[in-house]
Amino acid sequence: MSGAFIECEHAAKWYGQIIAVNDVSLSVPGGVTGLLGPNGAGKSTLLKMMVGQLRPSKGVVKVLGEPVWGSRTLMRRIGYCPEHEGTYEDLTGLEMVTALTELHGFGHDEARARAEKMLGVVDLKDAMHRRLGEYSKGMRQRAKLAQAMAHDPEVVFLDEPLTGCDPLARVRILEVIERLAAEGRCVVVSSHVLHEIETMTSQILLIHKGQLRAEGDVHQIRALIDAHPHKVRVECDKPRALAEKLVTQDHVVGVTVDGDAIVVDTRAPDRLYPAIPEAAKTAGVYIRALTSPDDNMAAVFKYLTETA
Amino acid sequence: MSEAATTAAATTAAATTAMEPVGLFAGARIYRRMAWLRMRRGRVVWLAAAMFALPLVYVAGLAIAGHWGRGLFDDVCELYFRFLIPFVPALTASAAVAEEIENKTFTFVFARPAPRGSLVLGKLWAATVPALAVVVPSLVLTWLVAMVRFPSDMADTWPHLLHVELAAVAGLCAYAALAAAIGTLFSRHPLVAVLVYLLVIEMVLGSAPIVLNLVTISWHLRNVAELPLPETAFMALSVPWWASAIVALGIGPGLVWLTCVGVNGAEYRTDR
Repeated sequence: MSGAFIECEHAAKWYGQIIAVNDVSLSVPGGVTGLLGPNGAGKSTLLKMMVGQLRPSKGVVKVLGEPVWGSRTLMRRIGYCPEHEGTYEDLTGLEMVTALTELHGFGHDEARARAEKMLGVVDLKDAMHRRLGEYSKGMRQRAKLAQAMAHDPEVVFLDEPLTGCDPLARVRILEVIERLAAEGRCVVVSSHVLHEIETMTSQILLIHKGQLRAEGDVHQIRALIDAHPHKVRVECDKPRALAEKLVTQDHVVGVTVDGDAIVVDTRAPDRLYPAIPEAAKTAGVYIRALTSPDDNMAAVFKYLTETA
Repeated sequence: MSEAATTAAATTAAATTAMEPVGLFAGARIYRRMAWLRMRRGRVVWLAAAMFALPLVYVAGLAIAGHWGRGLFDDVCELYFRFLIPFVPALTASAAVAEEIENKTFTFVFARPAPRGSLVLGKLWAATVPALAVVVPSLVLTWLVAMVRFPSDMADTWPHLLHVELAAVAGLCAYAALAAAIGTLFSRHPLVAVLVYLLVIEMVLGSAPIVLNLVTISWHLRNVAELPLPETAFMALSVPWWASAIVALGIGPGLVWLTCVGVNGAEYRTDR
């Protein structure tokens, strides 16, 4: 095996006429690697091929030097936290994580002890006897993370782990990811939000339309992205007042009023995000929602593709 | 292997050695426990139990009205074989694999080293064993109530009871396996698909006076249980009860095996 934990060799996946992943060759070293791309880019498909839940239509996907599709023994060394919200609603958090850990070959008592420990790590100790159906989205996400780690895997795959999480859940999940990387494991995290990935790692893989568009240090990509306007939509009660405040910022290249919302174009999203609440406070504006539309990422990729 | 990979391998070495290989039956036991925990907390299992209590109420009512003997027992058996034995497994087993597909929880279980077939086996175990535990004594109780007025008839009719019990056991296993298999194929609406099959194939075709009713489970169960068979229009069907018993007992394992093979090679299902 070369120095990589994960290797894809000309991996492709198609469904009839639709190509989800197109001839991807990459290698993933230890530590945290971000898999970045807009929705529908093929991140989840690629991740599912890496976890052995999808058979590549062409090429090979290897984890720890072994082709992953059809390898049951490899599943012992892999942890997977899927993107979807589905859990066993009628089971408690502890019951689910215990049972799923037992399926790795641990005895019931050992599995239960590991489940309790991991649920403690993700800050669910107090809620572990509650049914998963009563959990908030952030709590479910943390329970899913616990089941992915309880058997001490060498490689952990996290598909959009921060989606829909409250700030507390985000902090806990980020701490766990940091801890996994510090222990020398390989962690692959997919996301369509660059800002999220940046908080975890600087090592990224950019996927767009099923193809690997770039890989390497996030700062190089960031420089390209920063040169391209980024849109943020703010829904509020006084859009014009907020627009007047924000348009004076030097990084803001345009503000459009759209009904009871404004769409801000900026070249520095990192400066814009803290500026919005400040501007709202001084203008006496109440903000209902703040969204960074996914087409930001799509636009960035379009921009990267056009400039390449 | 890179230095980081080596470190990670060393970190997890102790954990890996603590793991035992998970076989088909060991995995099935874990899934059975999960499924049983969930079923107990849902309503389906209690509904099924209530439905199995119906024949007891029915036989008691008929006995009070003055009906006795094998005739009464066979009347109540009709309720079991036409209604309860096919339809209760449809409720408890049709979603066994289908709900994992629809709720996408199979992504958790397929990321485990346990054989995938153990999911099918474990969930069918959870659905079938409690049903057997209710039906077998329930049939004995029904027979006792039917025979209590003329205990001397018991000696003549207990072999019939054994036939009925054998048919009930084979029927519950076969219908549960059938429900799980059909539910896996039609995972969006597993219960509807199973009900359509039961109504069209088992009830209509199984009762039709044609030789085709040999393809139904219900015909073979009635043959084993020594219950009246539909008369065919063109030829007299004469199949020994033990041949029907082999067919009925073989259908369950056969369908479980087919479902396991299907699930083993299954990929993540997307909406594409």
